[in-house]
Amino acid sequence: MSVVLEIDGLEVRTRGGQRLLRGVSLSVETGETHGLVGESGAGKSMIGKAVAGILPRGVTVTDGSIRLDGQDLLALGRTKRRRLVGERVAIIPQDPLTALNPCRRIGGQITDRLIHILGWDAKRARLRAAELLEEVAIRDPARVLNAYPHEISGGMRQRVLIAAAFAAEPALIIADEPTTALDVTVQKQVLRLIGDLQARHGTALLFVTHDMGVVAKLCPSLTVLYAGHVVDQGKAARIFGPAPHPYARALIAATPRYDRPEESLLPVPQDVIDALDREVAQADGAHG
Amino acid sequence: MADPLLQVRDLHLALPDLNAPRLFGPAPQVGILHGLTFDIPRGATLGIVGESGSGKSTLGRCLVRLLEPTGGTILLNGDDITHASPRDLAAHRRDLQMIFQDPMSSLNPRHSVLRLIADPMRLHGIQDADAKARDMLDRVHLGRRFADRYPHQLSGGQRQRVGIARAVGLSPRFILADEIVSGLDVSTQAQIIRLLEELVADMDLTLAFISHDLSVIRRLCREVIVLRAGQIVEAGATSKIFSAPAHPYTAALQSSIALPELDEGWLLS
Amino acid sequence: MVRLWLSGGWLAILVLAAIFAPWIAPHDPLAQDLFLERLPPVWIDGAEPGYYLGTDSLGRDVLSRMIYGARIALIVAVLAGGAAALIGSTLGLLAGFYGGWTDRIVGRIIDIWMSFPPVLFAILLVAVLGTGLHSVILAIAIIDWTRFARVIRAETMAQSRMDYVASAVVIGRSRLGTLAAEVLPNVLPTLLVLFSLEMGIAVIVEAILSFVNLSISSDDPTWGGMIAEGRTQIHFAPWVLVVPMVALFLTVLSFSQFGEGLKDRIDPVLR
Repeated sequence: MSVVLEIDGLEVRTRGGQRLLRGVSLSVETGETHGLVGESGAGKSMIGKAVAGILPRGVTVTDGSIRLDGQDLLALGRTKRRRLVGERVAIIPQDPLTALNPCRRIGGQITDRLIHILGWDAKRARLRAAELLEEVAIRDPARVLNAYPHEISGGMRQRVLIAAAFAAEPALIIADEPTTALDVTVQKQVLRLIGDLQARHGTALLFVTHDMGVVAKLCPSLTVLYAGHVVDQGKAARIFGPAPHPYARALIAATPRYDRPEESLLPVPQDVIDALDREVAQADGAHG
Repeated sequence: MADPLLQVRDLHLALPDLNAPRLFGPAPQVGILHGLTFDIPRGATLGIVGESGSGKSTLGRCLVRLLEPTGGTILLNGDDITHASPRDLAAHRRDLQMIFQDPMSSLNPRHSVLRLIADPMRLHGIQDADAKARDMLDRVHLGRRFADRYPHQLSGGQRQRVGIARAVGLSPRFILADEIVSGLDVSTQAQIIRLLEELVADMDLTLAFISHDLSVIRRLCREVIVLRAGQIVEAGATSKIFSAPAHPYTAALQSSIALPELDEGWLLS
Repeated sequence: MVRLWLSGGWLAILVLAAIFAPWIAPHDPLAQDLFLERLPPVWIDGAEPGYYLGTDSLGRDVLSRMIYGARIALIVAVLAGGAAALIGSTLGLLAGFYGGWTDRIVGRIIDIWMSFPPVLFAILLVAVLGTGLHSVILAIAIIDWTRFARVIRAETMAQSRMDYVASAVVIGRSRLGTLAAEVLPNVLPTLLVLFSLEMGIAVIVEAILSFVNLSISSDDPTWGGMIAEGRTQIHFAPWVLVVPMVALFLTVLSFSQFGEGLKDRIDPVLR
């Protein structure tokens, strides 16, 4: 297995100097699924955005490196970087409705990448798109290719986006909370689909979520973030086992569970948060 | 169970279908709720669970009479409120409160926290509304220093506490909570659920809790009804429904929940 | 912040000039003196002391005429803008909030109103009402209320769909109370911006009507009238044209900037 994505000491700041990521390091190998978990504001989405080069305006990488297939993205020129990322990375976004252009048919939106980035001809791209829709268990690909986004259901839209992500055989897929807006039964189907496709295509997957349940089921390794700081990182077997970081343990205990209603839904204890804040302040102090 | 607070009988609701193609005349009606019958006993904690499109939020809005049912009856304390006019409802409003899903939208952005909590009390002629509103801020563990803030200056969890204070401040008999924790982080969610639990116990509230999350309902509600496509597929004591779901849909809902523990077989099951 | 002070400063100067015109104007704005015709402003050679902005082709003092002209400009801005805002936003609020028949009727009236070309409509109205300050104000209000009605209606509709309106029903507020206490405060910032824009527009419309001699009598000093006169003198005395145009430009810009700035200042959501 080869390392697809290697992030080292990544620091991201706003123009005002506020740190959004505080020296994040992680690596994802071919065929591996790595989970990024944390509460809102932890910076988990920022990592994916930094890799894809789509950080919001006024937010920049101020330190560290991002290597994709061994190439340092931050050292590349803007055009070269966009090209490399376009070829090798795909994103599955959170909100399937806003991620699809409402005025364009679905077919064109899947084949865009194939035609413009990989230089395929339109016919071949279209065949591939139909094939992919079948792969994501859409029964009537021809109809869906010609449909507009509002004409299909939310779960179907998310499957279209998954198909679009896998279309160009990327080396890395960044899934940013792809199931948060979905019903649980649909969520399970979508997770299974992502897992299946990823295993079949051997893609590296960076899976961003706030849901400890989803991470447990999908990601063999994970990174737990708090305020842009890596709190815990490693195999799921350890983090969901007996000896995780207290914060990871607290997040698991806060998640509601129907099988143990009395032992779940515990708010993260204040002393755990205080300890984290101290840890973050210390890291900032050492880093200047 | 002899003394129900709310009795719902054969409740139907149809709304005009604005997407349907038409040239003339009123839009065709599309059915949302198809004959629901259940009771909410005094002091009950009833969970209403279902996926998007099941009609659970619509049912909730009928219960607090934000929507007027097109068929069936709703009795509050024995009074028929199914088609009550706003004037007739005025007398019942105090007993029929609601906490909304998105406090960013349901709290007027241009009213201060104090006003948001005190206004309902003032409307119902409660004396010393401001002082009581400040007490409510303590009651929901927010603290009095939040009185002069505006909703956009609060975090999601704090906003939802204001939403709770606004509804609970009237000491209603019935309170409807519509997906009130769905946009929150797990830790905040846990705090809000605990707060609601505490208030329900202290103030003798009757609660209907709408959620898509069976795990939260299992924790908070003694009874549950499972909705699908505007019909009740299963109803009963929560513990019983979880240990032995009678309907395959309930079982599917339950097995789709991703518990925070390792289980390699889950995705494939 | 800066724009609030700059625009507010200019408007304050105008208001003071308008109120105290008889005391601060160095000359009688109507006094003609053909020996003093086309005197240049002080920064050009050949200026006469005491005539800071020069004189026009009839020897009238430009500064004094500007100061008296500010009176008319401000009266028109406040009264015409206010009347248009009152009519338009009342109808817009009712239509947007109550919907149904109210909305359909108001919507149709707006559509019909907007299908008249505004300048022709204004000229027609003034022709019917007769020239004079009151007709100008009335004409502007009658034409421009649709600007408020359209925007306020749309904004009210959007606000009415928010859950805080549903929440107001649940806590037992009356319909009218909900409109006044919940929706109106959320529409107010938009209204404020529209009103400030409208005051600028009213000043321009008055200038246009003066330009085509349909405002008040041509002797009375108005900025539009001065621009019309200055146009014929552009090669001999450009300042007669330029001074009122600059004032007009600054005033219209200040109204809109002041409105925006004030909104940012007083709106609790933006603070």
